[in-house]
Amino acid sequence: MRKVKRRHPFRGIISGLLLGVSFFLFSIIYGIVFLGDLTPWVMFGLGLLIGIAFIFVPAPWGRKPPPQPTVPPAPSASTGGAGASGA
Amino acid sequence: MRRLIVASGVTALLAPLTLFTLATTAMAQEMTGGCLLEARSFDAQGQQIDQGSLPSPAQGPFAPKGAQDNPFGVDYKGSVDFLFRTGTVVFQNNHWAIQVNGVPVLSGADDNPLDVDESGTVSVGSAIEVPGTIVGLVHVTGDLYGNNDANHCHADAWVYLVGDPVGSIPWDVAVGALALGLVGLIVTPYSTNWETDPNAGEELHSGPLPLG
Repeated sequence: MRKVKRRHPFRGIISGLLLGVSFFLFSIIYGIVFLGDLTPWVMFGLGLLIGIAFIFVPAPWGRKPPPQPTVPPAPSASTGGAGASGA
Repeated sequence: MRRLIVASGVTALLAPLTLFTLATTAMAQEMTGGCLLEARSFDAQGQQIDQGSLPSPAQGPFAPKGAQDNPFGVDYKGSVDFLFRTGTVVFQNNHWAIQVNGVPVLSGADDNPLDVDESGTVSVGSAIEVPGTIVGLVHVTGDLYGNNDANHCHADAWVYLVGDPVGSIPWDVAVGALALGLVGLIVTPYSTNWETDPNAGEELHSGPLPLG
């Protein structure tokens, strides 16, 4: 068995860009300027970083433990024993 | 790996310091080069919203305006009555530009101004045309160069576009982008699957090694 991680980089980047645009606009609309006129751009970068970070986060749902290796059933000791006990 | 972690830590510590240093340079209003700007703003009904001057009350009749904690209020659908003076110097062959949050929005030139002052009334909506309205706090800077760039005036001020942001197009876009971004974050984390190796039991391409 091999472990395969399926990542979604484009989803993360697009989500980050959308969050960045949102943070950018909200910082202007509500006058959030803790870093002066750089604040909207910093907020945009923060949103983008969040999106990129989520590419490396494991999904909390659908986690599967590694399956147990299938062992072929051992031949039973009683197999064929009927004839031996016969009279 | 250790270098990467150390570099990330150092960057995380230095980046905010650098940003703060850069930001503090943009937190105060100013007007340099001996120029003077006086302005009154009005809403769409003609009611006065705000008034102020740059650079200081000693050089103008109005209180100083434009600091980050004391921005100049403007209505996007209203107008601004302004008077700009270049001191005692006529800025011949001049060119000027205005930036909002570092983004150029207006520029122009005048090769033969006749005097040292300029006045007028401008509507904000005609300067930055978007449907609906704009509300928020923006940093406005402007530069005027004249006499073959021998003279230069620089203006720097914070402007607050007054009004209710809810329902404005920037607010709608921000809410929409936030909703889509959050949905995107939900579907971004990676999933882990366990797969059987379809090529299990592989051997050397040149054949198995002889046993014994």
